[in-house]
Amino acid sequence: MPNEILSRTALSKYRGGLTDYVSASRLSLWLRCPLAFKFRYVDGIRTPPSANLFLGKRVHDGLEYYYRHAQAGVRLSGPEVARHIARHWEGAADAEQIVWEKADDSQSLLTKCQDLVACYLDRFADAGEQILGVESAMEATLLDPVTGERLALPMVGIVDLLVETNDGPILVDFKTVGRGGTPVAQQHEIQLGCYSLLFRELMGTLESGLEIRSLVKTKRPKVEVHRFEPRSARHLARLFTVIREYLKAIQRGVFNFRPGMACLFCDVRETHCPTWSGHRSPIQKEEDGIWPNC
Amino acid sequence: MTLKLQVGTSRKVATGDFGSHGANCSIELSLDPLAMEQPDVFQKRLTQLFKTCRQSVQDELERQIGSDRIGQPDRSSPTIRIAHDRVSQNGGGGRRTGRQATEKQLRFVHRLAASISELDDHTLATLCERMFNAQLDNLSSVDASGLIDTLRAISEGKLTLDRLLNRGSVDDAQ
Repeated sequence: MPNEILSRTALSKYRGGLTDYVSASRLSLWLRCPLAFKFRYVDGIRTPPSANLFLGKRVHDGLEYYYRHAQAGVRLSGPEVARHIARHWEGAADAEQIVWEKADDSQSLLTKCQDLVACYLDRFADAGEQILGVESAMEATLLDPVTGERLALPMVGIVDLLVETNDGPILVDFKTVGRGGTPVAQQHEIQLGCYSLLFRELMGTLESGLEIRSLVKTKRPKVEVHRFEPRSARHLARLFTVIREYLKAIQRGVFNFRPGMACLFCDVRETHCPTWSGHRSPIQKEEDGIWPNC
Repeated sequence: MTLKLQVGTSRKVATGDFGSHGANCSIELSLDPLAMEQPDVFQKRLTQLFKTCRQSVQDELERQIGSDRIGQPDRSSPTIRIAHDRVSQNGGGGRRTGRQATEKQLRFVHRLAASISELDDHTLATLCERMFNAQLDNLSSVDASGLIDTLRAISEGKLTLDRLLNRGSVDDAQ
């Protein structure tokens, strides 16, 4: 990778090239639909976030604000965090080029955001958690745990929260979701596996667990905590199998579409996807010359 | 081809003064792939390794609690790393050893700090101590990344130094 990742901010601003690094979000999008992945990471097509995605980002920002202070030993009140969210709401919406459909959409979403964060703080503000890291940017070499082989690209990622517990450190990811319920084990496997790899390499120790803390956007907000065991050798072997396949696809330039339920939430469903004719990309044609048997 | 095996365990014990003692131990081994062809032997060996880790952690905790001295130099063998950690007593940041901050990160911290008028060396040291329970030169890579983001947020007016240092009750910059 040409640039060392110094911090979360740097990573967020750094739109690395396709062959600069691997990340959980890249892997997840590629698994969901290689064509959507191509539009985003090869063609560089970016669309403004949906209102729901924007809400999720602002919830993250509110929690980051709370936890940065908590890490410095300062306990903020719920209203103080709510005021922070309100103060930065419009600026963030402008920066993200959010277009509100109705005049009061912005205000109602802001209220929802504040309610979600307040609900979270009701549950966790008194938990007395020891904070090891907030929005921690991490970069690690990819060493296959089975073969010991070092892969060509590093992995990067941002872990929302690192918390010390009596059993050891846990890695926490915040999610803003429409409905609650226990996730199936595979649902977050790629993301959790990536975070575990990053954490182990940087901290030289194993995590004692991983958590998804879901802020559920029901009429009356609620928070669900889903705990996952430390990643096993099997988890990591599965992850590396996916990474290898991903790297191979990148190298060959093969990005087929994958129609399914995920299309319902896809940004490029109506704009770019219909233009794809199924023809091989120029990159693939070039690769075919090099790898005639592929 | 070799197999890489990593086992480890960690434990933290609360103390009466809202702090804690903690230790972790991990062992990393390279194995012949043939080891997997004897699953019973492999499992037995794995159990033994975990037992060794648990015992080392227990011994270390007893030593810490007995002498109440934390952060002694690591006297473990090259293949066994024991990381000592100390959790802050201010209710804030914890401390866990990890890969050291890079020079580039530290240089960037100083550059950012210099751009914040009220942040002198002493205040920067205080902030580090409060957030990471460590001096600037001893920050881990993850700590340094967190510090950089915090300093950026201060310079962008998203956080205020006074509030982070608990010197005022006002919210962040208006």
